[in-house]
Amino acid sequence: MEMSQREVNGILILSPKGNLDFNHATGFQETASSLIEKGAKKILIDFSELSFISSAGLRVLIVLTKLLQQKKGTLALSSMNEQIAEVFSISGFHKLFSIYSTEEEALKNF
Amino acid sequence: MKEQATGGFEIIVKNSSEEISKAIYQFIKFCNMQNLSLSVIYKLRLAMEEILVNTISYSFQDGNSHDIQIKINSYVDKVVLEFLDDGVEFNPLTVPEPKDIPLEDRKPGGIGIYLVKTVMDTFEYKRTNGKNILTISKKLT
Repeated sequence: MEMSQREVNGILILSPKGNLDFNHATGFQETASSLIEKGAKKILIDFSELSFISSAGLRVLIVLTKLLQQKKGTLALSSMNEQIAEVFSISGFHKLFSIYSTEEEALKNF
Repeated sequence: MKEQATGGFEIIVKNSSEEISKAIYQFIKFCNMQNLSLSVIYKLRLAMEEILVNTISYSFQDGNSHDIQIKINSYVDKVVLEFLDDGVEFNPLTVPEPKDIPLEDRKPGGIGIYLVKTVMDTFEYKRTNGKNILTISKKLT
């Protein structure tokens, strides 16, 4: 899937675009996992350009969290749209991740 | 008196990933035409993806081509989706949902069904004439 990458103060910010669904989750996982393998330890996934996420995307976030935990790294999520935030909240998945409403707030908490 | 649907259509999906994407695209178009809210469209789309992916992954084990029939009906106060397939008997309601197992340790497939149950208002399964029939609904208010 289309995704831009930036680094701010040693934190890698990934901004995937579109849908993190059954069609795109594997590609996103491969890219993000390879960045972790190459040494990225602090990763912020910026949801601002993501319109949809399904269980396939959630599974990838869980895999990335575990990968980073093994390497003593950190994963955070920011800037979710209202619909995504609502699904995270009612399904209880918000408890598994560090979620911030803005990128600035997330960067301050790394 | 039976409630009158304000809109409805049917999609037949073959058991392949490309077909899921096409069905979801058609479904979103229908939802937009029905002027459903973004929140309802998101939840219905999520349910549709999870159920189709689950059916294709677990119901068809003979390597043959199968059809999944989706009947969509919208009413003044709700949208009802019915999924019919002739795959092996699979009742998603029996997928274990132990509250004491962390979400991240749930088995594959479990997260998707859990999400559908969470975002929908009703979730019913029956096996009739060799078919799995799954009916879900979402209130519009």
